[in-house]
Amino acid sequence: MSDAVQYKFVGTRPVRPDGVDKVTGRANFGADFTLPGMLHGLVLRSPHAHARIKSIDLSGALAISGVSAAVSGADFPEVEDSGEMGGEGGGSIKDLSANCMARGKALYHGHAVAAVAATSLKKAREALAAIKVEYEVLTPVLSLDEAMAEDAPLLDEELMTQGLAEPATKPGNIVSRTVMGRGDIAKGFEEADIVLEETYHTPTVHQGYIEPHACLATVNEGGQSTVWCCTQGPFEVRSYCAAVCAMSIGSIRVIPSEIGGGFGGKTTVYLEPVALMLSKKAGRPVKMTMSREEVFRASGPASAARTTIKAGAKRDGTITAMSAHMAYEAGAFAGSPVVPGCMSVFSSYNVPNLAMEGFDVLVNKPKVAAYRAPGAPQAMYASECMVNELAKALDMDPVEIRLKNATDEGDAAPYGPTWGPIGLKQCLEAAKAHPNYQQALSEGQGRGLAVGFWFNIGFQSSAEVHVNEDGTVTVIEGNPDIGGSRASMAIMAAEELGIPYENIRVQIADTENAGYTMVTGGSRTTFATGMAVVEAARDVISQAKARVAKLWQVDADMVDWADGQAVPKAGMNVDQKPMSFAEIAAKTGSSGPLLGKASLNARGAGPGFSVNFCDVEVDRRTGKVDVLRFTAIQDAGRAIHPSYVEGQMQGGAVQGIGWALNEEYVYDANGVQQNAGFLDYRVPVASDLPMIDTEIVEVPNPAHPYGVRGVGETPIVAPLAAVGNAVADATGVRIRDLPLSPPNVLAALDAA
Amino acid sequence: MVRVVLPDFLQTHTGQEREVRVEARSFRELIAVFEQGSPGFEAKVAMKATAVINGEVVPDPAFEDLPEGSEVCFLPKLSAG
Repeated sequence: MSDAVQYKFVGTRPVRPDGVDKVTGRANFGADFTLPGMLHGLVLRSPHAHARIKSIDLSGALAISGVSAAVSGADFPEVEDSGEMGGEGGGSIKDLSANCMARGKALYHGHAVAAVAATSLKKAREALAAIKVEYEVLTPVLSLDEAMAEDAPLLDEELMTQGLAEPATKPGNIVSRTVMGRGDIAKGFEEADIVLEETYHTPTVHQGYIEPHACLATVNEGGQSTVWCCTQGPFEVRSYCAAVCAMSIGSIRVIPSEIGGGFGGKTTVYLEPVALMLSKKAGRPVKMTMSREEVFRASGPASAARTTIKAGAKRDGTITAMSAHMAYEAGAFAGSPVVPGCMSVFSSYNVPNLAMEGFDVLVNKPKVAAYRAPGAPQAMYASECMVNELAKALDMDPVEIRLKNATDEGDAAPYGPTWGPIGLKQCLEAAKAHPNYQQALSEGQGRGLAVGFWFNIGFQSSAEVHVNEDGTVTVIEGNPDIGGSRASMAIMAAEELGIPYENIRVQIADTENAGYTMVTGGSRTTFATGMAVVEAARDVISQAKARVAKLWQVDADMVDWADGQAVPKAGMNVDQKPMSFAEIAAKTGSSGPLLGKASLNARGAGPGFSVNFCDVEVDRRTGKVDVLRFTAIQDAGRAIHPSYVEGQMQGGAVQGIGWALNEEYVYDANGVQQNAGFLDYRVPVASDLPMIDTEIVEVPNPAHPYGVRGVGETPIVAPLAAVGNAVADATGVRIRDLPLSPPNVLAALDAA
Repeated sequence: MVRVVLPDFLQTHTGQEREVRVEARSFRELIAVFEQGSPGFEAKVAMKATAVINGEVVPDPAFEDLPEGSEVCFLPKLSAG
C-alpha cells in the first residue's frame, strides 16, 4: 500500500509547537483580547421560534448611562441576494445578514433581534431589558413532516421550491429538490433477488466546540476596521463582514486567535458584523462573546435528516440498485448539506443503478452550519445500516458484502467523475485482518462495521518561507491551526529544505500579513496549504542554488540540493565543498534577504475513505450502550504527522459515537430548546469511551508532493452506522432512529 | 469527443440528459458550445458548479486543454467543515 519512498521528517511525530502555550493557558483565544476604552456588546434574542417583528424601540436602552450604541435590523444595510457563499450548503449573503440580525421576522428561538454596546456587561444587560420589541407570534414549524405538510405555516412567504419536475405554483418551506443518479433504477430492482426499504432518522446535533464564539471589533474614524476573533477562516470573515456591513474588503483586517475547536461551525459569522456595526456607531472597540447557551440556541448545528433507502441485491451479495430519498433540515434559512448528502450516500459502492433525491427544508430552528463532512454522516448512517441489513438478510459477513461491491480506482463515482487512486478496498482488507475484528464477543455484546467517505477539497492557499540569518526559518501561512497543522507545515518545510524540524517556526498570520488562504476546512489545510509551503520552500532552494552558483562561478544548473546543503551536481566538474543551509543563510547580509513564496489554487484533492468497527454491550435493563472497543481505519494518502492523523481519526470517532448514542436537540412544542448546555446535551467524555484504536492506510494521492489526502472530515462519517449496526447485532433489534440513548433503546427493546 | 456529466441544475441545458458528448479541445471551447446551444449555461456554472476534469477537481478550469477522450464533470459547489 505505502510506496517505497523514504523520508527524513515526513511520517515522524515531533511535539507540536503550539502545545506548551495551549496547555499552560498562555495561548490567546477569541475572548482573550482587550483594547483600551473597549465596550461590551450583548445581543437581544427572540423569545419566540417564529414571530413577526412589528416594532423595535431602542430608545430605552440608549437612555441608560454608559450605553454607547444599539442596533437592530434597520441599522444594517440591505444586502443583494448574491448567490451562494461557500458553495452548496453555505446559503446566501442576504440570509447570512438576516441570520446575524433579524429583519421583519424572528425565525428561531434565540434569533438576534437587537444588540447593544455599553461600558460594562451589567450596563449592557440593563440595556437589553430596556429594549421594547413588539411581536406577532406565529406557529413554529419544528420538523420535516410539519414543514413539508401541504398547509404548513410558512417561514418565507415568497419561497417557491426550485428543482421540481413541474414549477412550484405556491410558496412552501421546501427550498429545493435535487436529483441525481445513473443507470435504470427500476430495472436494477427487477434484477435483484432481495429488495429492502427502510427509513432512518438522525437528529439535530451541535459540533460541540469547547470555545464559544467571541470577537473584538474596532472601526476607526477613517473607516478602517480590525476584527480579532476565533474562526476557521479569517479571509471568509473579512469578506462576509464586508458584505454584511457594506464595507470594502480592503478596509477590514481580521486577526484570528487560537481556536478552541470549530469542526465546521466556525466557518461563518454571527457576532463579528454586529460588533463592527456597534463599534461604528459607538466610535469605540466592542467585544462580544457568546455564552454556552447562546452557542446552542443561536449558532449553526448539523441538520436533522430523514433518509429512506431502498436496496436490491442478488443472492451472491451483488448490489443491483440503490435509491435514497432524503430530506434535511436547513434551519431558518436555505442551505442544508443535502446535496453532498446525495453525492456521498452511495459513494462507496460500484452499483450500476442509482437514484438519489434530496430536499432542503426550512424549519424554525437555527440555520445549520457545516459540521465535519457536512451532509455525509446523516446520509451514510442510513446507507451503511442498510448494507448491514442486506448482509444479514443474505447471511453474509459485513466486510464481505462491502468488498464485493466496493468502488475502486477507475470506477465512476455516483456523482460522475472517475476515481483516481482510492483506498476503500485497502481499508476493508485492513479491517478484515485486524485483531480487533477477530475478538470473541460475549452474550449481550455486538459488533458493527461501516464505511465512511468524504470528498476533500483543495483551492486557494498561500505561504512564505523566510530564511533568517542564523539558518532558522519562519513559515508564514493563513490557516488557523486546529488539528496540529503548524507541525505538519514545519515537517514538510524541513523535508524540502533538509534542515531540522526544530529550526522552523510556523506563524499563522492575519489577513494583511498572509496571502489569501481559504478556510481551515474541507480537510484542505495539510493538502493545499501544505502544497504552498512545499512550493515556497522550493522557491528558497532555487534562489539559494543560484546564489551558490554565483559564489562558485558556475551555472545554476550545476548546483544541486541534497540533505540541507548546496552540492555540486553529480557528473559536473565542480571542485567545491558543499555549502550548508546555515552558511547560505549567514551570507544573506551581503547577498540579500532570502524569502520564498507561493500562492496557488490547489487541484487534485484526493477523496478519503474509512472503515470503522466497534463492539458494544447493551444493558437490557436500562438501555445503556457501552462501547467496548472501537477501531478506526482510514486512508490518509500519506500521514505527514501520524499522531495528528490519528488524533483526527479518534476525535471524529468520538463525535460520531456521541451523534449515535446521546446527542440531540430536544425542543418543546414552542420551539424552545430544552437542553442548551453540556449538562443536558450529552457529548461523550473520556470516561465514557475506550481508547480509539487506529490504523492509517496510505494510498498516496498523486496530486500532492508527498501524497497527502485530507483526513479531517472522513472520520466522523462511519461511526454512526458502526454503532447502530453494533447495537442491532447485540440486541437483535434494529433501531433506525438516532440517538440510541437509554430511553430510546429501552423503548425499542420493550416494543420488540 | 469529451464526455460531460452534468448535475440536475444544468440538465435544463441538455434536454434533461445527465451525460452528453461534446466536440471541444479546451474547457473554454466546451463552455462556448453549451452557451451557444443554451444561453445562461456559463453563468450557472460560474455561480453553482465546480469542474472535475479527468477525475481531478480543477478550481481554475478556464485555461484547461481537453485531450481527446477527456471527462468533464460539473458538480455542485461544496461547503466545508
